[in-house]
Amino acid sequence: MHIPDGFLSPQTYLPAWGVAAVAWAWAGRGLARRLDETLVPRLAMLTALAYALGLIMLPLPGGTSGHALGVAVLALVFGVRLAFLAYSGVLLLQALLFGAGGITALGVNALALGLVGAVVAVALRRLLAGAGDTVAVALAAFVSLQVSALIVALVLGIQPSIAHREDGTPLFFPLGPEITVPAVLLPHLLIGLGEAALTVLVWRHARRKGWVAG
Amino acid sequence: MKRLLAAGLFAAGVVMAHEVQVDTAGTTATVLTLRYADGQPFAFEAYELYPAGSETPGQVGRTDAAGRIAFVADGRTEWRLKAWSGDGHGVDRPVSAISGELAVTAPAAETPRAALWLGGLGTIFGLFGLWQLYLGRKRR
Repeated sequence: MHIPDGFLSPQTYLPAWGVAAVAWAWAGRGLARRLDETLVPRLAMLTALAYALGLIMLPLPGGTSGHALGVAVLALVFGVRLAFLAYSGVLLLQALLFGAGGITALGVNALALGLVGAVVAVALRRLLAGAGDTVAVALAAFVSLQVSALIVALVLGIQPSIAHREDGTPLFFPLGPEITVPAVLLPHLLIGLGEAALTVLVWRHARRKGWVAG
Repeated sequence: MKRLLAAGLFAAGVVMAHEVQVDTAGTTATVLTLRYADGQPFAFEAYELYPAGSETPGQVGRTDAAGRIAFVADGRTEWRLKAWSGDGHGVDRPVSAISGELAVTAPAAETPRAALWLGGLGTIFGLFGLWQLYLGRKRR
């Protein structure tokens, strides 16, 4: 669900880059203190996992393709700030090497997938702590993916209303939210199940290894 | 009678003006094939093709079942392709058309996907390795 170049208007991607820059600065504060020598190899492994997951396209019903993100597991193991930084790096690599997601759209992609995805995952995990680890982690991963997908769908869907010619012809992504929201969300309901299962699997491994508390 | 004949001729002319004629001719077309990274065709999705520098599309339509777009470039080699699906997949990039009947296209010399994949993994582990080195030196 990475948004490619050419789909977003400057009215969208310029402010998003600005907000993302502030968020990156916030996430990077005190990095040397927080990212110590024991965390680096673990974060490298899970960042590589997220990178790999983003490039494994799974055929979905309806003739489209999708992939898991790996943001939730990064956030649940390392917290929002490290997850956001690591996933932003993943998005940059995927855009530069594969054209999967655009450079102009990087701010939107990083905020929608990396930041919001991580925040929702961590918040839901805490909120559902009483329901048991497996349920809480699975739901956190599933819902965080859906929220990210919804934001991407809405950002795409508002493009015709904010950037069009005088005659109404859209200048960038031409389809409205009535099309983008179901088109993005429905396949991600299926992808979310896989994301949830994978997150639970990695989360359990991380707990066994003592990477996460509680 | 003459008036009736004139009216009939006029009516025939009007009818002919509404007729759509079809000519069939063999020509050289450029075929673009769009697919997802897993090889699945980008089938039946909308596209627009713009001659370079133009804001008016030269061709609009939908890809076929195999994700293909066939178009006649009419001597213009540089085009811009916009294609999209409802779920936000798509491209917006320049494409080159075949110009002239004798033109032969060779596949672009692209880096194999596996090499890019490994390059990305190498970059991730390399950067984290550098960070680890930095922390080690800082500690000493």
